[in-house]
Amino acid sequence: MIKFENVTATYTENVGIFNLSFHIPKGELVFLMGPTGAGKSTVLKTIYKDIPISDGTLFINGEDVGNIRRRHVPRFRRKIGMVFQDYRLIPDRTVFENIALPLQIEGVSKKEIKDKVHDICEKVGLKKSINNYPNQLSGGENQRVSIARALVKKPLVILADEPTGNLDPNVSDEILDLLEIATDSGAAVLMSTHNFPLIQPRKKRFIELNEGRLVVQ
Amino acid sequence: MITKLLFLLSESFRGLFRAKLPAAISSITIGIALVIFSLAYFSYVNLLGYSYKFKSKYRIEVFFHNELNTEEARDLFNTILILDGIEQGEFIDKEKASKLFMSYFHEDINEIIGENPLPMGGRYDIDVDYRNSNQMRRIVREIRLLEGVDVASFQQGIISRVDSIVENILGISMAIGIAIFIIAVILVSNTIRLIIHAKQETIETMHLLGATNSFIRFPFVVEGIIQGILGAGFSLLILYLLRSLQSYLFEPLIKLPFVEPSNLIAYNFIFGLLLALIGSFRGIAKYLPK
Repeated sequence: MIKFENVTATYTENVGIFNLSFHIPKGELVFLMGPTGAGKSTVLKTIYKDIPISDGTLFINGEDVGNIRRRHVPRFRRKIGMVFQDYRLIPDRTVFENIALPLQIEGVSKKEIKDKVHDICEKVGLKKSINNYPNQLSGGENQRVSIARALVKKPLVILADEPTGNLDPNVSDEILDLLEIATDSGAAVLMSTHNFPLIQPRKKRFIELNEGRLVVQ
Repeated sequence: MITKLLFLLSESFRGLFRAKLPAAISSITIGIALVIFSLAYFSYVNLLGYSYKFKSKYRIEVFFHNELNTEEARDLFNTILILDGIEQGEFIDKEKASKLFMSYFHEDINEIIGENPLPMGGRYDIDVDYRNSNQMRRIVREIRLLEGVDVASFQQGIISRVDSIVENILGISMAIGIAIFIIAVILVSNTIRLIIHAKQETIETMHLLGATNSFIRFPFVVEGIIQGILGAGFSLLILYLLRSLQSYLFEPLIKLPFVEPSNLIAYNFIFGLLLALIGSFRGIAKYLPK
């Protein structure tokens, strides 16, 4: 699903990721660990093609990311579900509208959107808040909306960039539960975090980075 | 595809309602620019109408050599009549010439000098498209080259003066029009840029979710089109009120050859849309480069 082969991607000469190799198969949740500035976000940005690869090969669902043309990037990103620390919800849209957005971008029919959004809201426990706006929700609920938005299109890859960074431990656990549930449908989930105590009890594989280089796998 | 289109259209209207104030400012800006355009156009058309009306009173006058007999003079008159730019003419024989002398000076030329020395000739009206000093000068030059023509002339001084006034007013109107167009485009694009700036994070999120630039751009362009239509409507309303005011105050005194309302409506909508579209694309270009 996600395959890094000696990937180097840099912002400037000494900032970025260097010679990184790892593989995340279908249906696995892997944590990306490391201190601030270790290159966790760079790994994720490289996957969704926000930063170009300067060396090595990166495969997502068998597709060589380096060969994707700029104009095909939007189509490529539609296959990936993304969850962010700051949720990145659209403030003047309801929970329903925020979750429906990726489907609307794909041009899915109105009825299908309605069914899928209601279905995912049920799964992540947002049924009651479906008509609320983000500012009417708690941090945990907002992150649930963000996860629901990532899951609604049933992506094969889910990237979560410090999704628990702004949440208290109990809510963070619930968010991890939701990400784990996503792997049941076969998605490969890569979640970046620097909160080791949170992930330790989960007994999942983790990749540790430091200064853009792989430390532990 | 239809679902996507309907979604984008609904987004456009929602965007407009979410940013009511900037959208209203943008529409009013377009409206004011269109009012000024329309007034400039209206003044130009009226001025042109008056100048043509004024110039229609002027003709080319031709006097033939006295040696020509009536038949030769008629032939020459007809030769001139078919020249390019001549609309119609009136043949002046000796008898008519003496009558004209009488009407101008209230005296009979035959009684003064015992015979009629006045030459035969013609008076020619000019086609509408040729009623300017350059064309009339050209026609006079051609007439003077014909054998048997003694004198050919027109009121060159006055016509040249009228032409230069019309040209100056047209030049000034065009300069004002271009300046207003540029100002309106800048104002509209800055308003749209402000709207987009406020939505920068939303645009970034949409990019991350896989939205193409066209998908993001479309609602802003439609918003621009709606603003253009609203601006044109606003302009037409102001023009209607100005027209009513003009009728009420000046109609008994001045009769203006008005511009066709259908033309004015069409021009307002065309220019309104043009202004809005250029403004939208300029506004979007900064945040959504192609």
